[in-house]
Amino acid sequence: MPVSLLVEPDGVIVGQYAQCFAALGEAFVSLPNERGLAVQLAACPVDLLFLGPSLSHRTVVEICRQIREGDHAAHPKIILTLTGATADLTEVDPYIDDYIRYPFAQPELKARLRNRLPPTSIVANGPGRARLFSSPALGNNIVTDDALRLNEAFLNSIYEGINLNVFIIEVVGENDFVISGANPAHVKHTGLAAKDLLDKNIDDLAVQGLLTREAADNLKVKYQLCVTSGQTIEYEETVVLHGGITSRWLTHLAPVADAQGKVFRIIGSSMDITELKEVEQHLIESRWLLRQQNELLQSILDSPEGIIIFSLDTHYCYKAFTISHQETMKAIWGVDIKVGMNMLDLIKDAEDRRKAHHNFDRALQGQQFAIDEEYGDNNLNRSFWENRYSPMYSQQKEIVGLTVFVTDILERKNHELALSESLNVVNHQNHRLLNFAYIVSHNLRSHTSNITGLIDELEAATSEQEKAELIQYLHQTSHLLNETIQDLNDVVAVQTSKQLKIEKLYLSSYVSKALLILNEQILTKKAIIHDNIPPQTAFSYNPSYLESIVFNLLSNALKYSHPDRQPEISLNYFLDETGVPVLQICDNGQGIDLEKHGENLYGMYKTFHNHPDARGIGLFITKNQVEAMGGNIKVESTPGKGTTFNIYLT
Amino acid sequence: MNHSKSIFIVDDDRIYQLVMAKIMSRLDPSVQINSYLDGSDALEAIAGNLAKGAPLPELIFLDINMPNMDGWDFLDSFLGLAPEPTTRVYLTSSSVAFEDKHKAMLYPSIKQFLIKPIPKETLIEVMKTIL
Repeated sequence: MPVSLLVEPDGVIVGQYAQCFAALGEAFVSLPNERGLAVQLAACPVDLLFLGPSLSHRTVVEICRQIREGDHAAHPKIILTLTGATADLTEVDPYIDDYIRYPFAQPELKARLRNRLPPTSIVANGPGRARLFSSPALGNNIVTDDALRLNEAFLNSIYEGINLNVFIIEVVGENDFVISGANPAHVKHTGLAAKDLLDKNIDDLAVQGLLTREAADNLKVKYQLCVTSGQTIEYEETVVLHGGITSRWLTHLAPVADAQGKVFRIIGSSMDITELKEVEQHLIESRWLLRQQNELLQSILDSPEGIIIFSLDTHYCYKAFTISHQETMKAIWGVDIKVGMNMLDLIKDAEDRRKAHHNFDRALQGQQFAIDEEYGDNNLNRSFWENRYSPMYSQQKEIVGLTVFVTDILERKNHELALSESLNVVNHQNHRLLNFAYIVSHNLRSHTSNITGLIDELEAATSEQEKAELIQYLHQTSHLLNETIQDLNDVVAVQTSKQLKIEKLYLSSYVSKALLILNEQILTKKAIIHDNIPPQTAFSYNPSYLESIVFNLLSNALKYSHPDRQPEISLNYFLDETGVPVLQICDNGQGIDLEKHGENLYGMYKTFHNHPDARGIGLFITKNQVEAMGGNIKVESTPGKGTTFNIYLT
Repeated sequence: MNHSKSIFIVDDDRIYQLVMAKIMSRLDPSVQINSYLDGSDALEAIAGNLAKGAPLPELIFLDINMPNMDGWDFLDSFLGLAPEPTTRVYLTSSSVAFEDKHKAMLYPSIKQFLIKPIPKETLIEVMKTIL
């Protein structure tokens, strides 16, 4: 864009030029004298050179020669500013392309700018080129009066309409300032009416209480600085207006000097920057907050014990992850993860991979959810995690990935397991207690009620023989009652034993011991015993329980043998599919109808055969002992064919 | 009435049978009391009676818990032999289990659920029903 250059030493005149150029939207530079002109012409594309009114005739001739005869790349059109005084232009006219009369109105300047010569025509300019001055100068004079009015109206409209405080201060003396003007914006913004301000001395405002003394003194310092320096000054100030509203202003003071350079007036303008300052402050605070949050986030991400977070893109590839996640992946699957790796490729367990894939897809479909899951290497590092899945959105609200927040809940799961285990124990205890209460109520009662009945009959009996018979029954009953109480004692012993003695026991020696005690029955029944227990089979158990369990089951197998065939009993020992040691005792005896008696099988005093020795206490105690050792007992049976008991030892 | 009243006691407790029999004989010496240790024994006796054209017992005191054939099994078989018997059945037990009482209501033949020991007054009331 072409630039206009003015050479003029008077700052006020330069200011007037500048204002017009600015209003026309034209680029403009100025120099106070001819020094530096060559540099300026070389630096930017100057197409109009205005020679100011304050230049001496000699300087004008000097500049014109320099431009027209010098070796410059640019050949600007030269416009000489004329003042009212007539001057001899014969010497300079050959160099001058146009004239303008000072003071001029904006349209006149605009006309000069519009008449810019096409660049090619400038080349031909030289001292020989003739130009007449008279007529344009006359014409300009007529236009100037109109233009001045226009210019004033224009400036007035700016003064009135601009949303910027403009005020005029007359410099009356040193530190003595009188307000001579304040535009509507000033009145609006300060709330001070023009009549309260105009022709008032700054000190008057303080006396009237429109300004504090301090504020008035501050203003005077600034105004005086502007006066003494003769420079435009700019500063920010806080203004407390009546009503206590504090606002922040950017103020600009421009000095107006007379011909001697004495500043007699200050044109001030102020802009309310309160909001701007608030926004700036808010911005600073936001930045600070953001930085803090960033630091916090970073510290979370970098903390080795911190929460585990990772995010994946729509192809399950890592976008970001915390150090803790990196370490977890290393610990569980032995992989060093990196951004861009597909996470599904790293999960080595097929079932875990399927589970993860499914959950990732749910999140990628926009679901947000949390699940407790078990992940990890089957043998070593299987652990429980609570995983919170969330979809990740772009600014356009499209799902671009997912984020998973992981919490290690192994400890919580262990607590849950322990709790459910204790609940089981409590339930078992409760069941046993109920059973025990039932036993007490049923068995002791039947004996005591019999005793009562017998005594009643004894009292009513008439013959000695009848009395003797009843006493005989009374003896029997008291014997049975004794036996029942003994049984209950045994049961209580199993139920209440807290700390059981545990030793390493060889199963075979306990089997031999039981067979020895049962030897007579085995011989009588001609029973065949298949002892398939490996000789060195050993495990940790309570000795008296193992003795009782083996004896009870063997004795039952013999007792309930089938009348039509030779009894066969086999003893086996093996580990089940989960590695639990099992003692198995199979017989070919009468069997038990499990559909009918299943739930009562281990109940106390439950008998299922017409055997004279059946007392219904053995299996009850056996089951209690097995369970007290942390194992359990299972039975399979077919009536008429036989029974198999499996004792799970742990 | 050309025959004496017949009462069955079905219970695996011998002493209880004996005491019951003694009390009832004293209350009414004319009644004929038959005791059985197991449901199947009692059932056999009833089947025998029916075969001979002899009448059913007027009263049965039936224990629920018996090792071989328990009270419920006996009752089902008995109703199989005599679908609408005139016999009054009294269930007896030492313990009160709620589900047993519930089940007893399904059998119209069961007149009452008696808890052992049966008070003498109750026994007198029961005896009166067959006089």
